Amino acid sequence: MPPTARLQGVTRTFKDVTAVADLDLELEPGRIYGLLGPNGSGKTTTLRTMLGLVQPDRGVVELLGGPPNDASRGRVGFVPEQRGLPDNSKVESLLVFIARMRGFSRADAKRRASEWIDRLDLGEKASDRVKTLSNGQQQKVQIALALLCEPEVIFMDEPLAALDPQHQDLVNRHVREAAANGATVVLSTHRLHEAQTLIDHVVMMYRGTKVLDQPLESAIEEAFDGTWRVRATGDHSWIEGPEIDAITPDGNDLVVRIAAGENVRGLLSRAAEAPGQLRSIEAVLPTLFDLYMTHARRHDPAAEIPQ
Amino acid sequence: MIRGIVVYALHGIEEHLRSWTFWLSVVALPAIITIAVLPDVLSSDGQTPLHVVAPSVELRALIEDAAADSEMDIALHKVAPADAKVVLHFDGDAPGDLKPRLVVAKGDAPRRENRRAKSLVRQIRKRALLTDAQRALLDAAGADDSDELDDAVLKSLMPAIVGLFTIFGLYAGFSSATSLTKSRDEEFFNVLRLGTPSAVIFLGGLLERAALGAIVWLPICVLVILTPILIVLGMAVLQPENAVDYLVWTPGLAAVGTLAGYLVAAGAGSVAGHLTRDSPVLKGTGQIAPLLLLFMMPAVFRISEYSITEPTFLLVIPALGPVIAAKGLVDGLPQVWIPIVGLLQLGWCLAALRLGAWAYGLEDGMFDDLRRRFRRAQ
Repeated sequence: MPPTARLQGVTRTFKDVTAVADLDLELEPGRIYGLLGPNGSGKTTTLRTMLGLVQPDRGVVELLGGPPNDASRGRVGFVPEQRGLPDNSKVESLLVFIARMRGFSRADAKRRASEWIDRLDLGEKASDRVKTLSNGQQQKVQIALALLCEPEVIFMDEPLAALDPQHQDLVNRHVREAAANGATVVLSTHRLHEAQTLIDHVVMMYRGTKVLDQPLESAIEEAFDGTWRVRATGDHSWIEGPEIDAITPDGNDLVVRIAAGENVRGLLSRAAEAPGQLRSIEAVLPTLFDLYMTHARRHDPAAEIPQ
Repeated sequence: MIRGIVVYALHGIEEHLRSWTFWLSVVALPAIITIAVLPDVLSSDGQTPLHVVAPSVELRALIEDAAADSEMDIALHKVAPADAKVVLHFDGDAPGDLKPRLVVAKGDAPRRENRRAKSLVRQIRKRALLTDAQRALLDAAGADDSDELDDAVLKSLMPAIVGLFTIFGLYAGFSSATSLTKSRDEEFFNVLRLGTPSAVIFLGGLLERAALGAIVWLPICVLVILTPILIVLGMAVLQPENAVDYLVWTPGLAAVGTLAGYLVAAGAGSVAGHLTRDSPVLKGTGQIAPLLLLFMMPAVFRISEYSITEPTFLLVIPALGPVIAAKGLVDGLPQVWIPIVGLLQLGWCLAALRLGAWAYGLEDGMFDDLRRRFRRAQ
């Protein structure tokens, strides 16, 4: 299946600052991408370049099979980082307006607006002016605007900001549904814990350069450092073995670190020889946060893990 | 594309129609200005007699004739009455050697009194220059100086109309430009731009402004149409053929005033909106605009008067408008389009003026003719 968006050798500078340097990126349909990186790493410039809102100094940009143009951008949904809805507009009228600008008839636009107002739990606010809404409600309106016309690509810059957990979950469900229907979703965010439950591909940027571009699952597997959480009863001496680097008590559990290049088979064999003692064993997989910090430290040794 | 333009414009119009500031500009502000301006403009010269002091019999006869011709209510005195607040003195004996002097007992001279006095002096000088034979011929033909009277009324009305409409234009342009620029500058515009050609946004915005301008003009258009009709009806007995002047020039000048004000304000407003979009204090400019405009009225009237006596000045205002307004009108277009659009708008304004001149039969030497008409009215 052809990519929905592609950047090849894209470079963009603003005065003396290189926002994006020689970036290659391909987005596939039906996937949810997490675009991560510290402030100023080039995430927003990357999004805007793919949308055609920012022109690259060098490189090739393709959106839905060609250079971004009005036709292809009309098939895109966009949630900007900063809310910028017209203050005096009413929620429903704004949604109808955008749908009509995308070519839908008035009746169809109204139907879609009404549907998304319900879906995003904005029913009571449909006739209210934007300026009377809370930040979270305004964010939901932005998300509704992005999803309203069943876009094939959805760019979301911090979509979960200002949303309470209940509505974060609501938005996540709609994003997953859009991806399940074949849309490509790109999520630029600093909310790593929330993003981990949503994305299935991680792209990390650092100072305008891509430092990670991998399916989340394989990225986590690669980053796995051989740490296992073991719960056992009785004597724990069977756990020790030549491949074990360290055993650290953690409450009722033991955190067991297996040396690099070794695997868990030896531990499991010894557990089999000590019947009844092993209650449970699970891999301590790195989180998206761990991945992020690993790469942050790799490129900036001064980066500290927040306590 | 046409559908997109219409949808864009209609949405903007709907948004404005829901805004109380817009209706303030359409209804409340015109009402306030009308109340403030019309009594002065439309008040009859004959409501209270103008006290005139003339030393010689010959001069008094001349003044009486001139006042009668002008249908001006005057009270002639040998010496100034003690209770008169405004007195027009004539020093000198011979009609050719008149030295008018307006004396005001207290406070500022009411503009109306001042105007009446000047008109009377003009009439007297005019009559003084005529020979007896000419005067007899004039009286026999019934061609009294109602033309001169018309000119006086025109002179009073036109600055008011131009000023009035310039204010409406200024306000409408400013408020619409600030709000449009605000929304265009923010991220919503980026959402809107997805899949929407720049031309649709530009032309839609233009259509929206034009429609809003028309709505803003509407109440005053009624005045513009009704006022000359009423004047013409009222003057039918005197000189009905002069009705053309009112019917032609009042809406014409109103249109020029509004267009000019609207464009200038749209430009200024768009710049202000752009500069102030993150400033909560300056964002309030939309709310205080009506007050500012009320304070601007005297200046606008001066400009209007100057525009009439020096009609080429009229060209400056619409010429400035497009240049400044271009920035606001072309938000979202690549920078290279801005001067092109500015030139197009300038051409559009000049074409509108030209079209107006053609419609009023002033195709050739329009401004010479304007200048001549208003110099004559001085």
